[in-house]
Amino acid sequence: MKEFGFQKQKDRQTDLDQIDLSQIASVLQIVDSWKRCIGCGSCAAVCTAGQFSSFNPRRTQMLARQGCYSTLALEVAKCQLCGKCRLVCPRDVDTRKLMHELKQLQISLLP
Amino acid sequence: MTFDLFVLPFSIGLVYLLIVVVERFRHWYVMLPPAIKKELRHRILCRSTVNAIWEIIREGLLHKRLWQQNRLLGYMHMSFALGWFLLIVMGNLESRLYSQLHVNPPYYPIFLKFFVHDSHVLPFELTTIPGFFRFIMDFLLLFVLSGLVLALFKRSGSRWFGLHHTTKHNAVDRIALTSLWLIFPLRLLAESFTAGCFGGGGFLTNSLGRVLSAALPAEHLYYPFWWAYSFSLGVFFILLPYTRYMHIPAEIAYILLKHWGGPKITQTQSYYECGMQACSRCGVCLDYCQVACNGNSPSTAPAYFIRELRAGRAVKDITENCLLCGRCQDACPVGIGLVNLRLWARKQLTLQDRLLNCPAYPATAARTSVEVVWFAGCMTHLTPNTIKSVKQILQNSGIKYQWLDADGSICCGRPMLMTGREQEAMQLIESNRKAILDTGARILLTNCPICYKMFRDNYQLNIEIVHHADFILHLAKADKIKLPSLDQKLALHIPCELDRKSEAATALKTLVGRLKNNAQEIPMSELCCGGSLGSLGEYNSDTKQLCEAASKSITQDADVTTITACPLCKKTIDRHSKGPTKDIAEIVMETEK
Ligand code: SF4
Ligand code: SF4
Ligand code: SF4
Ligand code: SF4
Ligand code: SF4
Repeated sequence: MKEFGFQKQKDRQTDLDQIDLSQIASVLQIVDSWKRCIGCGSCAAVCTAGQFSSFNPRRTQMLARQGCYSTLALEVAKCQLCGKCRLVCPRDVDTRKLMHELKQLQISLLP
Repeated sequence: MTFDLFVLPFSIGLVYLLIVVVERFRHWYVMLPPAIKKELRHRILCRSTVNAIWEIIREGLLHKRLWQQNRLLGYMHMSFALGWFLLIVMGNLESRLYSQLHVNPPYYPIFLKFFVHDSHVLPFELTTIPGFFRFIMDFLLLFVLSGLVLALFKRSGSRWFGLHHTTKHNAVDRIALTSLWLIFPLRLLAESFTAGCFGGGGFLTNSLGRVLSAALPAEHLYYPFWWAYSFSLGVFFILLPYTRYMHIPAEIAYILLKHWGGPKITQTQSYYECGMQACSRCGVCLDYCQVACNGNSPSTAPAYFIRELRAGRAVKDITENCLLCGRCQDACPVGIGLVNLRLWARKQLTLQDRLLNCPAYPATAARTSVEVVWFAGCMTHLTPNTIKSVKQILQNSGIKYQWLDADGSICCGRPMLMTGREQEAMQLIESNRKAILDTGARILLTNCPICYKMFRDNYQLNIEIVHHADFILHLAKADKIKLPSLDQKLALHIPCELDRKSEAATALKTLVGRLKNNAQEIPMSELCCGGSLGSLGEYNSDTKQLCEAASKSITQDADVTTITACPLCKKTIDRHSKGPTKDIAEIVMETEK
């Protein structure tokens, strides 16, 4: 294998038996509009925090949906709640409220 | 005779009330940080005390601000407060003359007419004004009763008062309200029956007494009525600390804290708790709160929000739905710091221990000895036309400037602060503050009212902070820019973050006034566009209603251009109004070409 420069990656699939999606479900209930997200990435394009870091609201949402909590907690802390993302979302998702609620998730999510 | 069993309910109530109120006041004092306690002790012997006492008389008794809001409501509150207060004062003087004693038991003046049925004229009164006290006491009682009649009308229909909404009460409040309303009619009847039996009384009680005693067995009735009067007083006093009537002592404490506590007082727990108790639930704020009037959540208005807080319920929805537009605060006759109160409640709901993972701030340019540092603001980067116009204005004016966020910036921190995350906002503040001061500029120009407010209130920059509306007006006055005169129909939306009373808001109004070539009045709205970052309600569903109501208040037509001076307002209004929406800078530059 080595000669071709390939590497075998560690499996990154979410183990559904290991994660608890109930907290995310409660956020979905509060921010109803989240259900409408089509993952277009407009929010990421205008993001204030994203301009100076690897932060990306679209990716952050994915992390939440997939239950990647430890990365999520680190990522969502970068959002400045400036509210620009919600002005451009074509699906009227209240991304700022979503980030606020994700920030509010219990500390147990932290690594 | 100076005692009867019926005085007991009143006396017990009064003693209980005093104990509870003193304990609360003590609690508020003890909770203050040492520095403020020191300040407070220091100011007691200063002018502050005179000012505080004057405000207590003006607002606690005369209700001046409430009068300005609504005359009927002002009269109603004043007749209760001033009328009752004077009844106590005059009653005390009167009882002193009758009893010859220097110290009377506290109930004595209240029930004087039971103990002294004196129908003769006092020697003292003969030498002054005959029947003075009997007249004045009856007159004051009538004064209070007139307020009571108004209160009854208000309950039956608030529209009488020009109010669209009136507050709704819970069970304890209602019992307290009933006992309060019974106090004065019962006093009237008790005194009248007594006057009917034994003579005495003034123009009101004496004549009513005569009529009543002709029809009813007054000699059997007067005593039970004294009991009932005392009982209603006792019940009211005991319930007072647990109902909205706590506002009577709390308003006094609040005014004292405001005057004695110095500028830092507004950040203390005592101030919040006291302010919360000082709300009289007069209901004035209900008609000012857009979320309550046009939105989905009537209980967001301070009257109800504070009711929930008092009951120890920090309800998430109503704590978060508020736009922090400050209209209620400007209108509140008690002068409660309602915006800070809401923020304080938000802070309790927010996880504080997770710090912002703050992205690195772009490297700042070295000191360039410019006059003006221009911080467009992150939101303004979403309105490139505004940026373009401001840039042109700066270039045309020939002023040396540095554009701090040409390549973007981090947020000023106000949106973060408004969600109750103080520490995280502090991180953003520190970063920006350093970058701004590093330029060494004398003037900070910003295009976003949110930044403008934040820089003024939270940055302590010690340089001049200017919004572009003010900046353009200055240039126009100095003839460095020529203002167009427009034919098209205009409407003006004042962004609430601009602070309705700030120089920038005034400048914006003046500037727009100068744009018109005919004398036509430009409709103006000071309502929030609904897009406020202060609200954590669902943006698009709530905003639509609020924004439509706000833009309807100035224009219904598609050929009217709405002028504003905030990127967020512009984006929000543009979405929900029929005509075009433009920033003031765009308007000025568009026509200059
Ligand atoms: S802009 Fe809206 S729809 Fe697009 S990814 Fe972001 S939240 Fe989803
Ligand atoms: S609110 Fe957060 S996610 Fe949205 S643009 Fe601002 S920093 Fe980015
Ligand atoms: S907050 Fe102010 S305006 Fe509103 S009910 Fe209380 S006292 Fe009245
Ligand atoms: S700040 Fe504005 S939205 Fe909030 S309660 Fe007051 S009037 Fe209503
Ligand atoms: S106040 Fe608005 S424009 Fe200004 S930095 Fe913050 S979010 Fe950006």
